[in-house]
Amino acid sequence: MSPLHRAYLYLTRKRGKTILLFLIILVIAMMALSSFSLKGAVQTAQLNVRESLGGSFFVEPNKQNYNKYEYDEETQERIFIGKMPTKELAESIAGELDGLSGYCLTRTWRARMSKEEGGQDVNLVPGNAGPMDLLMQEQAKQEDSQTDIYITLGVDICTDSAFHPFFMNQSILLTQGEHITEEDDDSILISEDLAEKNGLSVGDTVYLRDQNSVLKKNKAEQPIYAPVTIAGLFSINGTSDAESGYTSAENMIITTQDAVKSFTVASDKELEQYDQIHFFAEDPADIASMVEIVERRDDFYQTNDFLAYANNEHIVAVEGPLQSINRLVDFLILLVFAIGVIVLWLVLSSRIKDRIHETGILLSVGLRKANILAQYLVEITAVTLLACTVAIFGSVLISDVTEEFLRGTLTTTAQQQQESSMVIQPEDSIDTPAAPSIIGNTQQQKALTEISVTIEPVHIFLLYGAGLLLSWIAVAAASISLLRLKPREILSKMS
Amino acid sequence: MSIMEVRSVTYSYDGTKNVLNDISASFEEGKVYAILGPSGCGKTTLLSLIGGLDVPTSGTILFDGTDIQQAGLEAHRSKHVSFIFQNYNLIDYMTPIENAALSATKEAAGAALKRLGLTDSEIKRNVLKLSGGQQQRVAIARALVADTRVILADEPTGNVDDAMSVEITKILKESAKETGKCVIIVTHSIDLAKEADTVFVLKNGVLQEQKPAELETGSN
Repeated sequence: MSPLHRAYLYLTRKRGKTILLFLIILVIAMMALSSFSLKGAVQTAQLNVRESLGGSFFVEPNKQNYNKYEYDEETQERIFIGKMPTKELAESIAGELDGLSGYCLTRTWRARMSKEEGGQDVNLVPGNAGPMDLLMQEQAKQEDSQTDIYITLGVDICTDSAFHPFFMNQSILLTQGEHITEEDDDSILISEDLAEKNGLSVGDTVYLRDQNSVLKKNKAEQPIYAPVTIAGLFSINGTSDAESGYTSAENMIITTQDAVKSFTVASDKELEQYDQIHFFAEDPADIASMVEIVERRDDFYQTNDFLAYANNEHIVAVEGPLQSINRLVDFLILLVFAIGVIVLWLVLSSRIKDRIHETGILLSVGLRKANILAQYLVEITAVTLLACTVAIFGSVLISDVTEEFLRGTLTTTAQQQQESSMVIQPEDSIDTPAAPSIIGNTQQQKALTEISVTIEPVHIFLLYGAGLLLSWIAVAAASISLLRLKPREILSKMS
Repeated sequence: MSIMEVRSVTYSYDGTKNVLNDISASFEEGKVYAILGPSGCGKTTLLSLIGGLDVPTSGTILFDGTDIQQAGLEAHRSKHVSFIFQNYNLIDYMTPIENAALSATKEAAGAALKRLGLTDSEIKRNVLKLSGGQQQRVAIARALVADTRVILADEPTGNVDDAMSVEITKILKESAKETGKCVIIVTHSIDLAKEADTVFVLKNGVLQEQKPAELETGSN
């Protein structure tokens, strides 16, 4: 009689013992599968957090060092004479780091924009200040105004708009057109709001001119009207916290250095300098180590020309609860594994040892030990496979409950995050205009709460693999201890 | 010609007191042997040595002239000998035919069981639902259908009544004659021993051959 046949007879005739073993393995399998799927969900949630918040660090000139300033007698102002970030610096740093997805040099400029050469300024999107802001705009439109009050657009110079910090953290999303790179010398990206307010669309040509052209003291020179093409429109995901349209994200232009060169009165040397370099990591978890590497450079550590700031505080803050859940899940998996091993070991050992009489009979009728072991392995394999299969369906219910719990926890976390959320900005530079900031990034919140506890094929594969392996080891170990008994010992145990 | 031979076998459980003391015997095919002796004298131990369930402290057990230890005890148990135990040793989740078919085909097992008096319904019933005599017949059938040349029976009539005892003895004798198998029965029943072709009496660790006719009547 084959081991398969004997196993079939045992499983079908010893129904009570078989059902008990099935239930034990079923419970362990359901716990294990739920843990696996929970682990997968938490890992996905962590990835969502990282992808939505992004991982970056930025480098900017060290303006905290008083030795980098000179006093200008004429203007009676302290002038920063330290080094500014350049493309060479960016390339040098990028060459030292592995795992960068890209980088972008930025500089904030101010400009005015008109739909026609020599025409009136476009209408800006008002900030939160309301009527006063609109009044300022109207005053600014008067070229011959006797006031210094003027209103301009914020211009972000960027070497690759796809790596602009706002695009990277999804505070703004490109909705029409294409991104621009430093090769594009006459292209800009503007907000949908600004485009709508002025009847502009992708492909339209507008004219930019330097902000200083409106200042009375600089009016000696005729302003240069540089034609640029609208290459794309972006939507703002959240709200600008600017009180004035002057600094609002809606009035931001993203363009290239060459485009700015075409209208600005600034020198070429001045234009080679940027305010910041933003570096983006493929895995935001690497940011801290990347910053450490950069800070060891001579121009950071020795000459103190630059400072590097990790931009991962939000990831750390939001990942906190997820990491706690992750640790809990790890502990749960370990616990399930330990309990599974112990329970299975005890149950199967006891079960096999209870069958010493049967083992003795089978040995006495001439069956080989391998043949007997094969029967026990076939039995446990059949029960484990059945239990694991049923566990898949049972775990779906558990996963639904777990998903609800996790979503509730993460929604709370996301709301707390939204309340305190601000795009991190460097300390305001003395001689550069403030960049706009955006709060309440709904894209980020959506990503945080997008969690799905599902049973993936890999979990099922893992369950079957681990379940069978554990069962086989337990049965084999218990059987081997029995089968290693000398025939005399089997005989005495039998009688 | 002897199929099994016990040659100068000594056996001790603890290494000090010998249960079997330098005993020798030989067993031929087609004959029934009885090993007689009081309880605890070492009869079952001797049977387990012959069956390869245990190994002697010294001496050798030969099957067909080959030392069974050298040939391998597992192979000896599977190819050369089959057992009939006092307590039947049937597998409780199997039917009689399944028990008997452990070491043979189902057809041979069924035929053997029927020859031993079990009905069609009985051979498909759980063994625990059979009487003691019927269970012993199943155990005998299992030994008979096995493709072995030696049957070792340990107190085969110990748990059955006199009538069944006679019947079992008759079956074993007939099997020896018909199949040419060597049947070695361990018993303390003189009546059963008298049915054997050769009787060995085991007393104080020493084995002595005795003619069945010389045995005193009645159970020991």
